[in-house]
Amino acid sequence: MEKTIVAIATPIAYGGISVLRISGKDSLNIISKIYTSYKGKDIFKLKGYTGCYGYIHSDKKKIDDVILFYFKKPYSYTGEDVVEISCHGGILVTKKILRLILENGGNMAEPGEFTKRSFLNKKMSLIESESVIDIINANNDMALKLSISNMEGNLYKKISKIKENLLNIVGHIEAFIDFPEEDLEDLDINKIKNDLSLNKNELNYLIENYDLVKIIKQGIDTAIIGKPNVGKSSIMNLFAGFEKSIVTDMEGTTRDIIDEQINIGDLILNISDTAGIRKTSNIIEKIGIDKAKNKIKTVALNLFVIDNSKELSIEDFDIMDILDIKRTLVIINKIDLDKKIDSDYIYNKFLYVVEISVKDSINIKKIIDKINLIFSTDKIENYSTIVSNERQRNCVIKSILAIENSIKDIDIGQTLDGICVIIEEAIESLLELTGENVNQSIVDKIFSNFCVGK
Amino acid sequence: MSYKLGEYDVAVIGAGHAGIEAALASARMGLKTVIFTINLDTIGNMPCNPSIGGTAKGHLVKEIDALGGEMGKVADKTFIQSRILNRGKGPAVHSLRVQTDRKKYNQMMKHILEKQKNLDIKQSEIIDIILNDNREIRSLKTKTGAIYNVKAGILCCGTYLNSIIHVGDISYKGGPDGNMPSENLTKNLINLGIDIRRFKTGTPARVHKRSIDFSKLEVQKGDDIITPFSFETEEKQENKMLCYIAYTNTQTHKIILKNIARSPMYSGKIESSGPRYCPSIEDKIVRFADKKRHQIFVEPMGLDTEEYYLQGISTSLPEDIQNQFLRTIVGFENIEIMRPAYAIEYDCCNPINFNPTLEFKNIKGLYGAGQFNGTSGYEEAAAQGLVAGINAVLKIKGKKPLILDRASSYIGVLIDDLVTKGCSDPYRIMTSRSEYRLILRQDNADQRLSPIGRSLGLISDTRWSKFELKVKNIEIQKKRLVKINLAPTERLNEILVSRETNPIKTGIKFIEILKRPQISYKDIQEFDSTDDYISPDVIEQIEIDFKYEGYIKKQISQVENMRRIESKIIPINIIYSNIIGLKHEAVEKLEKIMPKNLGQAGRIYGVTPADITVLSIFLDKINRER
Repeated sequence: MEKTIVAIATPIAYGGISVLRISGKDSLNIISKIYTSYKGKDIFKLKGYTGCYGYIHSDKKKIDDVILFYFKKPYSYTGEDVVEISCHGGILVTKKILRLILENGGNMAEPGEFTKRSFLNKKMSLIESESVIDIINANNDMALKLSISNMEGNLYKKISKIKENLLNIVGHIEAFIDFPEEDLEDLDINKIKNDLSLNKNELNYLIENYDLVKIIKQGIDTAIIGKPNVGKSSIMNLFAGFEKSIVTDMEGTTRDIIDEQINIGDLILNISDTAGIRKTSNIIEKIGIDKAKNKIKTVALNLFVIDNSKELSIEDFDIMDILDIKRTLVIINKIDLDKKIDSDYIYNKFLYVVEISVKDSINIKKIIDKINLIFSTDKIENYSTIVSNERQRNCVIKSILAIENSIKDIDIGQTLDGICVIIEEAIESLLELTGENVNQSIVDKIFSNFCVGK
Repeated sequence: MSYKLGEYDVAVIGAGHAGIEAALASARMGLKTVIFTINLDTIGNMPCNPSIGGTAKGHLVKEIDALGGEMGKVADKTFIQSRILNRGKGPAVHSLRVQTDRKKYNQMMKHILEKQKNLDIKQSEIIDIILNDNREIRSLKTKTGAIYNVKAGILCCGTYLNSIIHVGDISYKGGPDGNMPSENLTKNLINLGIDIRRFKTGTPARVHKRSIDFSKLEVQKGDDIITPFSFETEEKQENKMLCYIAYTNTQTHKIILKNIARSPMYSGKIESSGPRYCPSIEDKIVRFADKKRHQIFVEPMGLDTEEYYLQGISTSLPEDIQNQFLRTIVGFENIEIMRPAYAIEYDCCNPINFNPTLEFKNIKGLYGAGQFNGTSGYEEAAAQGLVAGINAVLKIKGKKPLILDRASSYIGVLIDDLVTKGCSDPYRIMTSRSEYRLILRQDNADQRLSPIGRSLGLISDTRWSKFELKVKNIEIQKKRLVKINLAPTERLNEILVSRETNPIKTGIKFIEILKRPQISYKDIQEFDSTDDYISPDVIEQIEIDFKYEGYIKKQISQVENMRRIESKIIPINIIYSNIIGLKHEAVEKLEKIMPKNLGQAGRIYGVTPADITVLSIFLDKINRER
């Protein structure tokens, strides 16, 4: 018998409301012991999809006013009887209600168990289930868009199409093998090779943007670099003002790297403000500078700040030497002051340059436009089918490898029986991706990645 | 009036290709066996193509032979032309096919049955099967009233049950090749709770040799070097006759289309399912309308007959139309039909009625094999007959049944497909039905199955020692060859270039060169300085093992995966409707098929991976609870 499970579905933090979700046969039973409707409604007579105002009590003492939502099976997220309790946010109250539910027969949900049940009850396909975790994790617009397009099955459709194409190729070869005495057209091995390549390219396209998408979902590691006093900190503050900024981690002194995660439009930047880079004999400052230089090499985006009112110095050239121009936006600050910088040199050397004044708020929005350009998010938006996690990526890569091998085998003159087996391997990897050929280990792995609430 | 006439361990009903293998296996495994046939002269008859083997079918014959069956041996002794199909497409799909002397095959089989110890042959029609209260088979009743008590029965009734022959608008009750149908058994089988349905198949016309202008046809020769089916065949073999190829043309198609309403298939008179992979000529023309011509293989029926078989042009059109359209074909202008083409409709059972042992799920001791199980083809029939016969014996002896999995053999694929997926039209084996085809080759059938045949007592001592020697030689030679290194000599590079493969610049292992698809052992034999005599079949194995090493490894790991899942046994008393999360359709299918393990469950149509996940979690749970 399946257990009835419960978990707090909203983040455990202070907020307006918190939601607890209970799923399983005993959902109503359990809740009936701790909930009373203000209008005296019998919750066992509730229709599915209804809400009911009431309160949670323990030992006849009221804990909190809540709204109870009832989703009758199979029309619920998990396909089972589901009750959701919206209580007033607050860690203590929410946890207290959770404890009450556990004491009355509920079981703490394992990570991903709600979604696992949803999958097992055929409420969603494997790809859809994986998208749910992405929705939960996606904390910005762009990532959400990507997740939703997967939910709607765009990736599924695309993969199915490629799978179908490969099946056709194998089918053709197999007909040729199984019916040697039929007057079939001769196999055009070059055409087969060509078809294989086309499908390989399609798959490549699906993962080409994978790393980019990963960056978008998890945030772009960004460093603000430059000499001291060029305006790094004020640019940092400027970003903080664009959107609510969440200080996730703060360590060290001003000479260390400071991390902040901020949203600018569709993108998340994980920004590190680095120590100003200059020649110094101060040992502590030197450590900070070395760290900054190291950061330049590891981040996905460098915001290189220089001063419009000064000529380029040795320190600037030192920094320029280690910058990757494809991942660098040069910010020429202080254009409110007289120009002394050799901006032609900068424009010649770098792909992305923006001239601003933090002080007079000139061209500030252009910074965002340029960053968007660097990560060419337009391209991603147009291509809604993107492989969005490691498991899917691995399947696609396995499939691409198999197709490459089959082409290689055709080239060295291997026989058709072997080639068929390799193409079938490519197909199997795709079946695995769409969950049509699920083996147990995959299922377990996927669902353990889910956060508890869903 | 009925009367007792004898007792047997195993009774086989029908003496076609399935019945023969079932009866011989049973008798050879030491049980008292009887085989019934409506007509003694039709033992091992080939009412359709006088040919054995073909793609995947050739594999079956080799496997039957490896298990100790008879089909391959007799085919080797009675063939008149032999060819390996799919040469050049890879060893996994090489398929041996022979044209046989139909009468000789039938006579030789009859004689083998007659000489077999423990086996009685009776010309008699079985009309009823009687069970005891435990639903175990108890006895058989013949049309003339004789009752035979038996411990097991094997239904191999081919296309005889309630069969109807259609030639155009004319139809009448009749079995294949002008034999009597069996009109009583079906209703009794239905009474026993067997799920009976109706299939149809067809056969082309037989024509007189003198009416064919062979000079206008393409000649098709047999192979120069002939590979036998049987591991035991040692005598030199040679082709005795030629086959020919003719073509239909637009004129032929026009006549057929004009008269299509007179084909019972199209008039709606025949509603039962025909074999998808062996369509009639009218089907081909309708379905592939843009094809300008279709091939016809013109094949001799034997050495002592003038009859020729026209493969690829089976039809249910009326005799006059057959005459008309055949005469439009170049070379057939004066064609003289001896036996017109006909379609035959017959009763058969739904194979999901069977366990993988081919025993009925709901009747103990009753088995089925061959066309009665919904298949098509002599080879498919023989394969099932052999397995059913073996299992009937094993059960009576209280031994573990023989269930061949999908990675062991095409026989395993065939039976698993039948009992797990069922079939909606006469089932034909094909290489594409096997997911492990690179290891299920015809050349290694002996290595895959002879140890099983030996343990069943169906492989003789002589053959077994010959087999062991072969296996040993393969190992010895492989070990030796991997040690040989080759220098980049002029002579070697000359050979490599002549075979259109790259010359070498540095030293290289002998086997690395051998792995190249273009190079055979023979090409580079001069660089192997051994004095050992290496027989051709050993060389073949060595070449394949090295050349296909990568593929084979891959398939072996797939097989291991499959066997892991197959090892998750589903308890016989499982109640699917109690498993939460299983969809209704899955419950229904699982209850019907009763899969033995998780792997088989996953192959059932309508059972999804999600269902399998649920089932697997459930099985884990009950295993943990134990």
